[in-house]
This record gives sequence, structure tokens and C-alpha cells, in this order.
Amino acid sequence: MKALEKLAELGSSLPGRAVEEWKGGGKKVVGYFCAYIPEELIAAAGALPFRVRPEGCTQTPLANSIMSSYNCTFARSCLEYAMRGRFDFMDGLVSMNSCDHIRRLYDILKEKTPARHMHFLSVPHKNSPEAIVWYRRELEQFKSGLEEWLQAPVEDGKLREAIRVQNETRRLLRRLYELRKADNPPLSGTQVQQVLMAATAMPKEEYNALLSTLLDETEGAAPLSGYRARLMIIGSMYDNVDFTRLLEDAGGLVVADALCFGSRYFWEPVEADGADPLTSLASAYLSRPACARMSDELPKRMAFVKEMAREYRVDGIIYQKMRYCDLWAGEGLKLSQVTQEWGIPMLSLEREYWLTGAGGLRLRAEAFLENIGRGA
Amino acid sequence: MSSRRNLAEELSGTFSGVAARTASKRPDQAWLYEGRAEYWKRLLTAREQGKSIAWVSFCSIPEIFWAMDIVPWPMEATFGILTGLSKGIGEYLDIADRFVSDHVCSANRSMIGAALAGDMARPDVIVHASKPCDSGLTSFSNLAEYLGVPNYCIDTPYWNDEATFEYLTVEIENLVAFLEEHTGRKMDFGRLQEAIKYSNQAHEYYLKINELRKLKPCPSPGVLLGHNAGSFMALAGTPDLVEYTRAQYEIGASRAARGEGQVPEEKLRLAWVYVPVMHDPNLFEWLEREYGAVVVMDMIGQYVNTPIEDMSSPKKVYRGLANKLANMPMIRESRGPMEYHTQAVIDTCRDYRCDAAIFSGHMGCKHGWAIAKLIKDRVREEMGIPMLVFDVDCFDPRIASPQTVRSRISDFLSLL
Repeated sequence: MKALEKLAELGSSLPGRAVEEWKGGGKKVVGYFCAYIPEELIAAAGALPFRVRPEGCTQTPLANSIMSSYNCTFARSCLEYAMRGRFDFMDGLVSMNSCDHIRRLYDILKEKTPARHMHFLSVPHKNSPEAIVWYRRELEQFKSGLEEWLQAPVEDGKLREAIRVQNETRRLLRRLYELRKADNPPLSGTQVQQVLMAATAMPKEEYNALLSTLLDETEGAAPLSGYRARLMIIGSMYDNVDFTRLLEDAGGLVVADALCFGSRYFWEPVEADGADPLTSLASAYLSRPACARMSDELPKRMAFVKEMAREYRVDGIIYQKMRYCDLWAGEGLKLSQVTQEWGIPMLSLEREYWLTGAGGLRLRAEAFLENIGRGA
Repeated sequence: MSSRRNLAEELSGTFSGVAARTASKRPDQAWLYEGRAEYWKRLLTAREQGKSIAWVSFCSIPEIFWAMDIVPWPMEATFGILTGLSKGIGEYLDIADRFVSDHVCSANRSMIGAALAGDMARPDVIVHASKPCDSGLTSFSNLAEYLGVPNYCIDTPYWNDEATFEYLTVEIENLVAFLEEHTGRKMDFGRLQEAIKYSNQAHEYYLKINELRKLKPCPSPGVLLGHNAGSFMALAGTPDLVEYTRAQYEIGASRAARGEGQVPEEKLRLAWVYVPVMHDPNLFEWLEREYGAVVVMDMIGQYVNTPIEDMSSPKKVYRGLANKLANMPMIRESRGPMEYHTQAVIDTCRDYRCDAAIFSGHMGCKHGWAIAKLIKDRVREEMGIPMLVFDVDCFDPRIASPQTVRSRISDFLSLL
């Protein structure tokens, strides 16, 4: 599958060929930090939205001189890369109050790293009529800032077009996920994750074309077999393909997720023809399958996990938490209760941003699969 | 088989006992415990009195609850007190650790553990705020869902502008509607006005108390700051808090008039710019005794709201409470841009004429730890004073014992 190879390459390099080509055309790149930030706004302004990921970072000596060891290794890795100049290709940066680590990382980046266009969004922690009005106002200010910086008006028409393009991405990714429902899907969880990583690192038009090709190519692909259990991954921000590979090398097959780099990123479309596209964005993003930062959405969050597990016939859930990620660490309380009620085994794993202690993790994964699986 | 604890009974007994002993031996100090002894009794007998109970985070609005015959039970304050008492909170942390990671704030984990142990009367509702931290947000909402208790999160935006206060006003209106729905009690505006009147009076005294603390020498002990925070969390909106602040102010004013300081010779004035070490309640007294160092202000004892003048309508009152909520200790510093935090620290160091600052880095506070170094640098640049930053779990002595903490502080003070 040639498209898969291309997407895997694009999603695993920093900044990657697509970004270099984009920049070569004299256009801007705007880094953003969280799945609650609408890429559509950035794209409509003529810039490339690029989700910030410190791909390949494995140590943070520079960042440790500022942030504490009580801060997660994702935040520290981002700071490390920013301080080393690895993020210099980002002309702009937008962040939000995703979690305590990321909102403080923004403060530090603002103070310590080279000047670039920066913006911060105060995103509500609930999904209510007032919250939608609030978030719309925040998006309006973000849009104004982009317009002023890029000297290009973001008319409603451009925004609607960006929403349509992104909806096409969502539609194609849903098709990709449909394939995973099969007893013997054509793609592994590792491969799907590689495809997903590219989604936030290249222009959507190009991505959609490659993804369409990939979907065509999967028709003739040999189905996977020989796995011991169908797994679903939930929890903290998760972009480490090596971690998924480890689970699959141990005999699992990752068929579903409730992750912000996975299904939660694209699950529901945004209304493209609504009266006010900013309201459509605010409403859709606050309504999407929720991160643990959304306090009032906990019942819906659990319902989403349950529904995904049912639809994808999941044998076990991998609940992974990044060390010091309080938001997802706290979910263990309710998750332990509901997974028991549902009768779905759950393995709780704490990890760093990069893969450490692979031997121990593999051992735990194998023991879990031994308990829940069908045997090798 | 071990018998379970009843925390309301335990704390009611503790405060009643201390209040009675103080009234007998030091009648001039009786005000210090009387209000809170009464509070715990009220909580313990809430059901018999036909009142509802709300478990609340420390960033809550007690006035609303008192006006609706709901007893607010501030969770972090409860476990902050308990960890300083002999039985501690270790067993609760152990229970919680079976479900949530050990890096989640121990104030929240001990709440989870005690709730799962069944040591607290089941509440009618749980109310918390989305900030200052992720730990509180996730712990309260998960616990509420786990127990099947109705839960309301006051969403506190990042900014400090007019839109923020309008949003918070609606959040408070919605909170009242939520409480009415889930407790069956109606908000009586007359009672709310009365609660705000008490709250205003207490605040006026408190602002004057803060002014006294700025004097050299400081006429009031550091230990009062923790008592003040606990009292505000539970008693705002009651006459008990007015009495508490009035007595404290009058004693401080009288000492100030005589030129008396808390220590015979005030050698150092310290700003305690983070969470106090709750498992060592005598720490500030030790600093005074050993070093002549007075903690003149801390973060959680610094209530600096302006009284709510306009009480002409519920909306106006909620608007005033929105201001109050946004300015509550820790919400004020930790919910928005770093500048809110650094400025608050610098203002404290400057206004209270401090010689040094101490940042007790509570390991549960990831937002605080992320910028501790930047705050330290800013304090040095702008105020020319040093700031000690050290690791501690302010609620769990097993991480850094009182002896360890005191040793760190001793090393720091020896360099000044």
C-alpha cells in the first residue's frame, strides 16, 4: 500500500515534506495544541494548521531547567523542542486551557522562545448554551488576530469551505474506522495510527487525496489474522506509534480508541451551511466526544467508550495515562466502576510521552492478553 | 474488625473540645474556635435539622448555600485539618490509590478515599469549580458520578474581563437553579441579602486585618492565616464569620496601637506564596520562635474582595459573587495567565514588606510547579528578595515529613 507508506512517512517526520513544501510556497504554519482548537479557522486564514507534537523527543534537559519533574513529559518535550529550535518552522502558535501542563507551557513559550504570532483560547469546561456563546466569542477574537497577522480577511465563505474540506477528512476517516470492525481488518492499529498522525501535519486536501487512495488500496489487502484480542485505547494525549506497536507485538489488535489523536479528533462533522460558521464550530467542537477536561461531559464520555467498545467488539480496554496527567488519572475512579458493569476487562497503564520500560510494559500487556484473549 | 470513622463527628468533637478548653483557659481567644465548633455541630446535625448537605471544593460560594439551608462542607479544608490531627489521612490516600494515580492532589485523593470508606455523610449534591486545577475538576466530577450524586461544576474562564464576570454570573444563576432542583429548596432572596450583608461585614474587617499585617512589626501570628482560610471557606455568609473577624481585628488593632509585634524582635518578614504545609500546623509558630520570622501573608489566607454594594436584585448579587469567586485565593492566581500568579506574589511581597518568599511546591499543583522557577526569577528581579522553592506534599507527610520541611527552611533562612 503505497499511500500508507507515504502517510506514515509524513506523520512521523518533523516537520515533514508536506510542511516544507508548504513553507517553500511562502505560506505560514500555525501550530496548535489541542483537539478543541478548530483547524478550520487556521486553514480558512490561508495558513497550515499543524498539531504540535515533539515527534522523536526522548529527553528534556533544557526544558527541565524551567519546568518541573511534576510536569508531564509531553509538555516538557514540547518545551525542549521549542528551546532547541525544532519548532521554528511554526510561524504562529495557538494554545488553550486544555490542562494545567499545556496552559502553563503556553506562558513559558511566550516568555522563553522566539517571537511568533501567539494566541490563547479560553475554552469552556462544559457544553452549555452559554459556553457555546463564550467559545464563539473566543473564536471570533482568534479569527481577528489571524486576519490582522496574515493581512487576509477570513470571510464566512472561506470558513465554510474549510469546514467542508475538513468534513471530508472526517468522512474518510470514519470509512477507515469502519474497516476496523471486521473480524480480520486490513490494517493494524499501528498502521491506522500512522495514518492519523499525518492528518494533523499536512494540508487537508492532499491528505484527503492520499487517504482516498489508501481506502481503495485496502480493498485488495490481505486481512490480518492471528491476534489474541481486540483492544481499544483510551486516556491521555497519545501519539506514540511505538506504544501501539508494542501492544500489537504482544498479540493484541488495536481496533478502536477514544483518543484526541484518534476518534475524538474526527468523529462528528461540523455543520457547514449553518447561519454562522463560528457558532457551528463552537458548538461542534464543544459537543465532540469529550476529553476529561470537560467536567460535565463525564457520562457522555463513558457512553462513548461503551458504544465504541460495543461497535468494535472490543475484548479489552487499555487505559493509558501519561504520568502527571491528572485529568485522565482521575477518570480511573469512574472507569473502574463502569468497565466492571459492562464486563469489559481494563488494563491501566501509566506511561511517559516516550516509550520507556518497554520490557515491563510488554510483560503487562502479554499478561492482560493472556487473561482476556483467545490464546496465541 | 476496625470501626469506621465519622469525620463530621470527629471534627465536631475536636473543635468543640478545643473551643471549650480555650474558653476556659484563654477566654480572650475563645473567638478563634467558637464559630467553627458551631459550624461542625451544624454539619453533624444537619439531617436532624432538616437541612441539606453539599460537598464543595474550597473554591465555592458558601453564602449561596447558607441562604438555602444547605450546609456547605469544604472538602480540601476538611482534609487539611485532618492531616494535622493524630489519625491523619493516610488510610484514605491508600484507598484512593487503588483507583487514581498517586500524583493527583492528596487533598482530593483523601476526599475520594474517605467517601469510598463511607466516613462522610452522603451529600445531596457536590459542587466544585473547573479551576484552579485539573485535579479538583476530575476528582469531584468522578466521585459524584461514582456515587451517583448530582454534581455541578462552576466553569471559571481563563480571563479577568467583563465577559468573564458575566459568564460567571450566569454560572452562579445556574448553580442556584441546580441546587433548587436537586435539594428541593428555594432560594430566598431576603436570606441571600442577609448572608451577603454578613459576608460584607466580615470582609470589611478582613481588609482591615490585612492592613494591620502590613505593619512593622506585624501584630498578628502567621498561624491565623490558615484559620482564616478555613473560616472563610465554611462560614462566609454567617454571623459567626463576622464575630471571628471582628475579634481578630480588635485584638490586632489594639496590639498595633501599642506597637507590639507577634515576636519580641521581628527579624524576618516572610510571604508564604503557596499552599501551607497542612500536616505541620505548628510550622509558622516554629518559624516565629526559632527565627523571629513572621509569615505576614500567605496565598490561601489572602481574601481581598470588595464588599458587594449593590444588592438590589439577585442578578446584581450573583455578579458580586462572580467577582468574589474570580478573586478567591488560588483561583485568582492559578486559573489564568501566569502574570496573574506572578503579580499576586509580587504584590504580596511588596505590600507586606517581605524579606523573603517561600513557595511550598505542593506536588499536586502541576500548574504551580510549571512556573515556580519563573516566579522565583521574577521575585528576585522585581523585589530583590530570594524565594525558596521546595518539594512537598502539603497534605501527605509521608512524602516530606515536617522535619524534612523544617530542615529545608532552616537551610534557606541560614543563608539570609
